[in-house]
Amino acid sequence: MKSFIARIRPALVYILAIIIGTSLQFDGRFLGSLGLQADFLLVFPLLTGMGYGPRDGLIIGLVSGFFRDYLAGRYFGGGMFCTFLLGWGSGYLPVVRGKLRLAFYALMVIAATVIFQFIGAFLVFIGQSFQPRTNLLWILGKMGSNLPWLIVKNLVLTGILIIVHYILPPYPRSDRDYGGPMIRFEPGESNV
Amino acid sequence: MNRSKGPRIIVVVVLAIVILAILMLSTIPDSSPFSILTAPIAKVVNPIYRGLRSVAGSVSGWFSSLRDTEEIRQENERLKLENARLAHELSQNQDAIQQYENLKDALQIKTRFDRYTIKGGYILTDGFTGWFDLYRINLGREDGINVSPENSYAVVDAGSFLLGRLYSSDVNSSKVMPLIHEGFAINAVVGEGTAAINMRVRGDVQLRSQGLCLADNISGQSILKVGDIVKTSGVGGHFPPGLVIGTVQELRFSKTGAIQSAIIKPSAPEENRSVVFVLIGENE
Repeated sequence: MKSFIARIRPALVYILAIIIGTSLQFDGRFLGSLGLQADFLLVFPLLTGMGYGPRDGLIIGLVSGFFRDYLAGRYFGGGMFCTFLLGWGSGYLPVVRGKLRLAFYALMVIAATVIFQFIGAFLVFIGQSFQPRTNLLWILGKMGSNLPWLIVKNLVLTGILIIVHYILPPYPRSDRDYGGPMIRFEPGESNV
Repeated sequence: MNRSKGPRIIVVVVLAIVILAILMLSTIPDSSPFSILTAPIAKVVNPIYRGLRSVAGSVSGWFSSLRDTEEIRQENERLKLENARLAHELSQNQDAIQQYENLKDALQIKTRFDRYTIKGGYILTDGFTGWFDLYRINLGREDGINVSPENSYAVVDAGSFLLGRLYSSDVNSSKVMPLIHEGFAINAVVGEGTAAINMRVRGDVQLRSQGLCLADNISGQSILKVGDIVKTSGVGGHFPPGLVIGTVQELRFSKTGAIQSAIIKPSAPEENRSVVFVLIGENE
C-alpha cells in the first residue's frame, strides 16, 4: 500500500496543483477582480521541467496546455503545443544549485513570460476574423504595456510554488546528484 | 531534486505533429470529436471547478465581511468576532437572495421571449488574458444545448442584456464567446419599423481592452446618433430580436463625412457576473 501511494504520489501532487492553480487563474471574481491572476499554466510546466527534467516537464506541459485550451481557448491545441514544448525544453536547462538558483528561476520565468506574450500577440494578429486587421505592432505595444505587471505576478507565483514545493514535493527528497549539466554557485565548488 | 531522463526525440516529434493536427482540426466548425473526447474529463473536472469557485466566493465574501465590520471591531473585541460571524452568514444569505432575484428576472425574460426556453447556469471559469479567452458555464448537452454551425445560442444576463453566444458545448459545460471577443459578430438594429438602422456589431481587437465593440456595415447612417440603443435584429433566426446589446458611444466618420462605424458600449455590466441565461429556441 505504501509503495503504491509512493508510486502515485507525483501524479496526485501534480493533479492537485493543476486543479487549484487553474481554478485560481481562471476565477475572475477572486484574484481576477483584484487583477492578481498570474499565469500558473505557464510557470508550473517551466518549473516542473527545470526541477524534474524533460519527461515530467513534457507531461505537465501537455496537461497544462490541455487545461488552458479546454477552459478558455477558442481552438484546441495551441496552448498544448506551446506549454508541452516549454515543459520539455526547460528540462534540458542546466541545473543551478546554490545561491543563484532562485535568480536563475526568475530569469527563466521572465524570459518565458516575454516569449509567450510575443507568441500571444502574433496569434491575435493572425487570428483576426474581420477586415481591416489591427497592426501587429499595435498588438505588441498593447501586450507589452501589460508585460511588466504580468512578470511581477509570475515571479510572485514562482516564489509561492517554490515554497509549496518545499512543503509538498512530488517526489521524496533524495541526496543523489543529477548527472547532467550542472552549474554550481556554492563556495568552494567548481563553477560547471 | 532528481531530474527525469528525457523522452526520445521521436516521441516529442510525434506528439508535436498530433497536437498540430488537433489544432488544425479544431479550427473547423463543428469539430464534435473533441467534445466527445473531452466528455469524461468534463464529467470529473467541471464539478470540481464549480466547487472550488463556490469556496473561493465564500472566502472572498468572508474577507469582505471582515473588512466591512472594521469599525465595530475597533469598538469591542467580543462584538468583532460576533459581527464577523453574522456578517459572513449575512453575505451567504445575500448571495441566495441575489440568486433568487436573478431567477425572478429570468422569468420576466421568459414573458418577453416566450418562443425560447431559458436555462440558467453558473460560470465555471473566466478568461485570463482578455485577448482570446472564452469562459465556461455549467450547461451542456445534458441540458439540451448542442452547439453546431447551424445551432447557436444567445447568452444573456438577468436584465436580458446580451453577453455573447455559445461557442462550443460538451456533455455538461459550454464555452461562451463574449460580445467583445474579436470572433463575435451579430446582426443588430437601432430603432423600429421603417426608421430602423441595420448594422453588424462585432468584437474588435483594439476596443476589447476597453470593454467596447464595433458596429459597421451601417444602413441609414444619417440618423444614427450617440446614445441610441442597439438591439439584436433577429436576422439569422438563432437569436431573438430585441435583446439589448448596448448603446452607441461614439461615431466614426469617413473622409466624405459619412458614418463609417460606431463604437458600442455593451449594456451588460462586467463586474460580479456569476449567473448567466441561455436562450434555447423552440425548434432546437
